[in-house]
Amino acid sequence: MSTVQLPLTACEAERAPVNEEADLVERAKRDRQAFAALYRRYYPMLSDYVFRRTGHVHATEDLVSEVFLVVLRTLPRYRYRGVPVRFWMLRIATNAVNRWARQERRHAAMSLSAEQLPDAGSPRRSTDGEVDPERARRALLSLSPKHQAVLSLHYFEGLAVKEVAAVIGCRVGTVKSRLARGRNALRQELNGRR
Amino acid sequence: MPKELDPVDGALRSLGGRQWPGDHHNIELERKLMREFESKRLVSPMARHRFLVASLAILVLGSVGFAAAGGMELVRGWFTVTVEVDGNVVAVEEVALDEQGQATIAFPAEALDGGRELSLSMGSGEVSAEQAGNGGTATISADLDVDEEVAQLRLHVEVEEDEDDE
Repeated sequence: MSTVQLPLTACEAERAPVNEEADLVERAKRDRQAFAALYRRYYPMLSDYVFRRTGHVHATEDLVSEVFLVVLRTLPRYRYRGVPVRFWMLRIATNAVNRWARQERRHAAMSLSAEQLPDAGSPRRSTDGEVDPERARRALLSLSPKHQAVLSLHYFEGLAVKEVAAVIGCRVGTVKSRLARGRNALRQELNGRR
Repeated sequence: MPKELDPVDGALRSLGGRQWPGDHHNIELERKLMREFESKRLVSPMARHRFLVASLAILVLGSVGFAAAGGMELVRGWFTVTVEVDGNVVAVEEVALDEQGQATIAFPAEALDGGRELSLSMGSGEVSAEQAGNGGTATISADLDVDEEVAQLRLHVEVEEDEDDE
């Protein structure tokens, strides 16, 4: 596998100079090369986020493609007001993955057949105290999409509670409450599957 | 004795450590986006917006027959409107018309992201026009205004009086 660009996580993306990011976003509205640069900058970060939530390679490819098409379509309406562009993109990605998660729940995909599991990429080897990644993935996917979203953004992407609130467009108190409930639901799910 | 890791933290840690196993540059998707970019430049955003509004402006939610007496001076009404984007309900509102026969339903603009079809359905309710002649028909239409954060559906009720035989 050849890598042409270092992956940019949500935290690393935060370090991108604000003025440079704002300038790139404005140029990307009119200039296709600037849009390509925007795409290349955020593709790795969004792919990581979507993959951590879905655990499916094909679903991740489809959803990331959908996210960038939405970004392209709605970019002319985007106004840079100091909120990092990655929050806006994470919001679009979160909505897309939530829709996917609802469909999965409807189709009772929680009982994925064993032959589908290798699609989950290359799970890290469990270390002390870590839960088997596949079991963890199933447990997470069994939660409501809104709980999946806050847990993923906070624990996987390393966003502060205030930042999670900015991404999903709700109050800080709501995020805190969803984090607590999400953790409880995840605990129950993990206990139930033991 | 080492403290055992909370299973919830263990699960989150194990999932959070994953990285996208594919390439970090999808050239196929980039080409597709570039093609889309070019095709979108051919139609200005304002033209697309006007088209959307024009399409919705002629959308008729429903017609309600009413009976009243006298000339039409005041339209009153309440009814339920359900807004769906691609079959997903994004808003259910009890709408009360103002004196001009208008009302607005607001919902987060993000509900439109990625959507292809917005539909409205009208539930139970009633529309009346005070001091109307023999009664008539109220036609309810809508147009859509979207800014960065909020989408607003503006509903308009137009009343058409029945022909008077006198």
